[in-house]
Amino acid sequence: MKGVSTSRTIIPLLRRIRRLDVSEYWIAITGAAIIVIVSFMAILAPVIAPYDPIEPVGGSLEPPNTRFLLGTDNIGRDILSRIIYGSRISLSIAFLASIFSMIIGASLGLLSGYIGGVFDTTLALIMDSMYAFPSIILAIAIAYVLGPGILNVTISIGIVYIPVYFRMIRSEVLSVKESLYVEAARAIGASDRVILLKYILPNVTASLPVVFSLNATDAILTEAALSFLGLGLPAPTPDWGFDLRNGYHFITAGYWWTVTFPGLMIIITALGFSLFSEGLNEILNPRLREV
Amino acid sequence: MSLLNINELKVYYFTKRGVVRAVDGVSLSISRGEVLGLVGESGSGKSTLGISLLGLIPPPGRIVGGSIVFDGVELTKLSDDEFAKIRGKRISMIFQDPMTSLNPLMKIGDHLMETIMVHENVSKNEARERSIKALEEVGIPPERFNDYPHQFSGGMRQRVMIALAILLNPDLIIADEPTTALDVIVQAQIIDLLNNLRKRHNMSILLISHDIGVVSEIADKIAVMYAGHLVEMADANKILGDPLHPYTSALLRAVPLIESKSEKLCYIPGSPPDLVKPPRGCRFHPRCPYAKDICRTREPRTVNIKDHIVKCWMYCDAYE
Amino acid sequence: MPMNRTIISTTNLTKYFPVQRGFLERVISRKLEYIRAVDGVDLEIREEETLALVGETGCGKTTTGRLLVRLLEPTGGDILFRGKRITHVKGEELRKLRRHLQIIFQDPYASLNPRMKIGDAIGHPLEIHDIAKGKEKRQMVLEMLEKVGLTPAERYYELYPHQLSGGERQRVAISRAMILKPDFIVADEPISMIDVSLRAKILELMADLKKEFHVTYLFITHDLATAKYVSDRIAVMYLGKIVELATTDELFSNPLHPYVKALISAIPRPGPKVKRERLLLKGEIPSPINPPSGCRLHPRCPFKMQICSKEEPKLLEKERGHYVACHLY
Repeated sequence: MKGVSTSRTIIPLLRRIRRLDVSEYWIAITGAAIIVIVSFMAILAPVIAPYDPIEPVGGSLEPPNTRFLLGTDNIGRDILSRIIYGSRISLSIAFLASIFSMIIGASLGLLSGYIGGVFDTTLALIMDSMYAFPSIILAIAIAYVLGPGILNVTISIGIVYIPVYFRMIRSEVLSVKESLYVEAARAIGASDRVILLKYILPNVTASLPVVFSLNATDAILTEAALSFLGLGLPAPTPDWGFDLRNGYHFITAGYWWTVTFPGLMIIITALGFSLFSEGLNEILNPRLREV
Repeated sequence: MSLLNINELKVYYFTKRGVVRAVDGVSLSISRGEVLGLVGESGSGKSTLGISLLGLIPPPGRIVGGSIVFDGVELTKLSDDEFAKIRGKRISMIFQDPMTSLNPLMKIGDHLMETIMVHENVSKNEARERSIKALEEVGIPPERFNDYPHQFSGGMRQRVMIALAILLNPDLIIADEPTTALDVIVQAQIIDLLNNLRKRHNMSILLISHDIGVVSEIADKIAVMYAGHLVEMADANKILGDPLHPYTSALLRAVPLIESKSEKLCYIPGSPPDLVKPPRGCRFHPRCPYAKDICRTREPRTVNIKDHIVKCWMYCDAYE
Repeated sequence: MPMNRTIISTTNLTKYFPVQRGFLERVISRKLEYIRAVDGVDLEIREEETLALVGETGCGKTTTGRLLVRLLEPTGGDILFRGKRITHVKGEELRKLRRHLQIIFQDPYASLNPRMKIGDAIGHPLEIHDIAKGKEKRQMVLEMLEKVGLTPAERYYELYPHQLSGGERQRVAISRAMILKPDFIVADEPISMIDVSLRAKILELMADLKKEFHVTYLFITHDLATAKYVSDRIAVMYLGKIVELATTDELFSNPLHPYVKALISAIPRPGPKVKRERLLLKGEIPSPINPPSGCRLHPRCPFKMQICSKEEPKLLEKERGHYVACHLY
């Protein structure tokens, strides 16, 4: 992550963790556990998935049984295998989109906050307008323009969240810019570039990890939504959102397993990220406690 | 006759880092109409002592031992409701920063009137009259009755705070660094004002400050605190002219004086102690030029040499 | 050492700050108001002296300090460093100038980058000005740490500001300012946020380093007693102007300006209580946006005369080396 190096963030973080007790970190641990499990699912997919997710391997719309633990969809594909492989798509898109947003949003926020003036006002106006759009609608619009495909979906989700990082970093930069140690840096003759990189950047990245995981949460949900609406990845790529949509048609006829399991995966994964970001926030910015 | 009697008061903060022994067995007393100056540096415990007299210790701190007897009433045993009757009326407080201590949305006149009406059953007109009188006493013209705090300068705001503090004719005022945020000339004005007020109303003042100069301008008695302990207390003249405790003398030598004939300014080597793990024995011993073996192992007894109280092994007749 | 050579001088140094106004105000009223922080200051600072700049809130001493090290650009007047005009230098030329003009700030907690190791912070000026890098830089920083008493130096090199006490942090700030061996240092209230019992240590350190590196100090403080202890000459400011300037001994043995007399008498004195007559000014310092006409002290001055509200007194040399701006003289 930008600006985060071992000595600056991880070590103080570890020190803080050592001094914690359970009541403080159970949220983060639960979230982290979920993320880790789903990640392993994604990494080990070829090993743990019982069947090929794309090929029909069973009868159409078979209910959960001993051969297909979560049942099959209308084409006869094993839902469990599709879900396991689906985690690859969801997680990689969520991570990549969030990293994309962060790098672009944070850099722009840094520059804009420091340079100020007309440049800053204009950029902030643009970002605020983007931010004002409901993220789903913006994602849909961009995805529509760019077309399907993993890269395009990543970009469209990524673009939507740039304003979030921009606003956050920019406001931190605005306040750090006025601090005495920045003035001191100017006094010893540091150039603008050096001040930006060594004095301002390391002091504004504190809330990045929390926002990052919040973004990942949103990215998962948005990706699922885009696929649900048919703007995401092309069939037959195993994708939770796509399967959700697919199964949607059959739910009224009583074939509940086609919808439930993809839906559960989306919820659980998003929850994992959400808990982790909430828990991380508690650890890094603890509220005052009464004894 | 003692108005306030603090006996072996202990106030600890229970933090995650450990137990901070902010006030660790302090005893002192204030008589009616007397000004006691409480001097100490950061971490001495003086501010904690001040707020404990009003029951305003913030969590995670609380009183763990000792007693505070105010005009016969044991303050440590009072409920919050009972304390509310005393706060502002019989004991009031002036804080350090006048900028943030006043409600910015309230006209100062209203603030004063409300203070009176909360404690006493009087008509609005009477409250208003008394408020205007209080403002005049502190040197604020009545035309400013309806002004907001931001319309006053720092010194004027502090005068408003003082007006609030004397409004109900308290017996005791606790002033915690009342002039630290003010300019030198205004500081002198405020100190003179406090002195006049206490003479006129026969009020006692506990004046807390790190600045021994400010304190010595109006204090009758001076008490010196270090790391949660009371290390010396006596008549102001005696402490300033003939201090007994090594910390007090060192502190006096660390302050530049206008009159001195370029004496060398001294500093105290070392640094203030960690109140979670204070030094064994006498808490000052790591920085004391006279430290002996016993100072490093046993906490000194407090002795009273003709009304001059000092907590130091040099003055204990028998070391055992 | 040529002690009388002037190292920094200012002529009619002025700095006005525009008053921030809300959007509506700006649209409605055309008139711009200014905070006249520094309003025509003439100074001559001699090589290797310590000149104290004393005053209360709003007098302009802090702004003056920042102007002299060009952290601010003057609105008017001139600043000369060793005879060369530095009033409006910019860019690379300004950065190179920083080698010679340094500043120590009041707040040791806020003037250090919380994310930078102490060693890196002190050594950063060396890197910036291409004086030393890597091992050589580290060696110079370690030597500096030893000099200021932060030992073991290797250990302190690796620490972060939040792991140090206030006094230690200020010593780091001093090291950072000194490592370039600058000619001139502005010390802006360097001890007012340090515990009383530790202030003398910082002052002693500053004095030792001054002797060793042959530095000139502008010592800014609101405390006349401290100014007396550290300085060779004292300049007293009020509302953006210098009202009196003299050698330290002379200022205290023979103060001329009513404001200076009031300041001296207002200082609280620890010592057995003696009945003193205080010369107090009434009221408080007016706003620097609309300073009083003529002599700025006239609304509060016990010696006010007719001319005081009409004409501004000039800073004139009354006795050798003793300047005062007052119509009484």
